Amino acid sequence: MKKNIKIESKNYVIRTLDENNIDLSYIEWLNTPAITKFLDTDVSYRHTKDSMMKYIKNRDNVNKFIFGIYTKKDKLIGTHGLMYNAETRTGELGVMIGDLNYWGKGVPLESRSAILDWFFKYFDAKQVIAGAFSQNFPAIYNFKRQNWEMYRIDKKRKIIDGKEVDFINYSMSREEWNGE
Amino acid sequence: MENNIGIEILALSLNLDASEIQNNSGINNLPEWDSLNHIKIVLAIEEKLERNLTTEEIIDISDVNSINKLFIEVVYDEEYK
Repeated sequence: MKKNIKIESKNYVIRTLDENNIDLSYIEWLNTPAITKFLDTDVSYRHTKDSMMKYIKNRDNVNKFIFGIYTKKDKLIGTHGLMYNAETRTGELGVMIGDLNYWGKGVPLESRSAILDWFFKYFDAKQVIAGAFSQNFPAIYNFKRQNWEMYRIDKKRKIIDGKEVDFINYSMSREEWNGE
Repeated sequence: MENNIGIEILALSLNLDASEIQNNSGINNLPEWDSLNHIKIVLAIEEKLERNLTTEEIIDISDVNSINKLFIEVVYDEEYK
């Protein structure tokens, strides 16, 4: 049986999603181009309740996670995907704020901080990697605020709104995160 | 180059008086500079330069000095091209 994980921050509760209790707003967000256009996934795929059940079921909560970001009133407002590669001791972290009312409120800064604290505490990881498309200015702002290090730019990775855009790769080392 | 264009752009984009912004103001100490206002700042710089910023330029924007540095480099490039 899968182990559920719950992480608390000042304003949010971050917990692993349950395939038997899917919030329909999550599926709606994934099928909304304005929300998904900056995700590094195949955004043309049409998600359904069944496909999301399979996806969440495939997260083992050992090395592969999909977390919901909930308000303290238990409202789902976004998600974090996290994968851990034990061979390279590297975690890969993504975020999507689906509820537009929470854009510009600093949610990823707080929720990602909580996940990084938890991750570096329980995993023998040396770093976490993440990224943003070059036109996703709010995401770039968040990486800058959190002192992530840019280590590579993948030129012309995707076409968004008819324009070729780059993908910026960031990393956060255990030492940097823990202020060592 | 205009005098302290970094302060000018931040004041306009963040709806602040220029006197409220210092040379060391940036994303870590200017509360009004949040992720959504960051869009306004990047677009204001692009409008002033009359071109899109490169990815390398976009990721450098974090304070008054980084904006000023960007304009100094552009003026230098135009003069010595």
